[in-house]
Amino acid sequence: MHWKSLEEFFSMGGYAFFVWSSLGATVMAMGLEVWMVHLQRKQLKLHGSPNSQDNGNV
Amino acid sequence: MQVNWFKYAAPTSFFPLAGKMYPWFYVLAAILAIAGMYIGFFVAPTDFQQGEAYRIIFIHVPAAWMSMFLYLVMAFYASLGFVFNTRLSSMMARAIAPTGAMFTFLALWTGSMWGRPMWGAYWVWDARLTSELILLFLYIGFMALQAAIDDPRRGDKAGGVLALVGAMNVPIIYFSVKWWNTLHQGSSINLTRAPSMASIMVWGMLLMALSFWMYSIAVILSRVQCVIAKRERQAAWLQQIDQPST
Repeated sequence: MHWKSLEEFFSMGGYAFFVWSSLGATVMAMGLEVWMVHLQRKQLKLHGSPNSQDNGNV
Repeated sequence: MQVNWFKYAAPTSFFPLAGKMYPWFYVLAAILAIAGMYIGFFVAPTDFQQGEAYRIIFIHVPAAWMSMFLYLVMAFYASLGFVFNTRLSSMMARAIAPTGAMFTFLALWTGSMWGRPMWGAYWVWDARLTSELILLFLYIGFMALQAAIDDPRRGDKAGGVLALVGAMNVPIIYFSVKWWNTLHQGSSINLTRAPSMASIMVWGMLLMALSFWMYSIAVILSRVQCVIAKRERQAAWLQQIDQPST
């Protein structure tokens, strides 16, 4: 383990804002994308793994 | 043995395959991300020049790689659409664009978060940054163009031309740090020589890149199902209108 304390980890050597906003933006962008596709699937009534009968020809 | 290369080129046969595959790629992406983040944030040592700020690299470089790679894949599918006139190729191109745009945005965002502490500026108009910004506009232009054309096949063709012409920008991004004197540093990882960074850092970066790759496959397969469903639904609807007697 690289860090001595939790505080040290979160402060990122003084670069906390830059490091965590990069990570935060990544998590938010990916989360938003997955959520948007999920909403679209719901709207189109596509579920997890469709059986061969339901080929999208609704 | 006769291999039918086009079996899964038909949207109706690709649709169930995509549905079966995409959850597994999400699982792979999650496992690789946990491993990559662990190495990047807990194992990798502090950089002697950049301190802890360099840890942005574990997101920035994989996102930038994916932004370029996905554009090439999108242009490849667009060209397949022109050569074989397969609808699925164009649908794949459509499904790739939003994910590519997302990674381009992330590459720019994390880049500016790295540039501020290291260069003293969130943004500079150097060749690398500018060409990456153009990549974002190409993705957005591709999506806007296809959304603006009602006839899906005409939209496919128009978007395909844009994707192919825009592909020229990818080598410009990649080689910009060699061709021009940029503030952006050159590549730390190269196919022809050993990486100029500690191997544990390289591992963290490669794992994150693999994770982003698997994530892209998952979300694109999941989205292409939506594209297929929308199109086929419209086709079925058109059939009913055209042939009411059958």
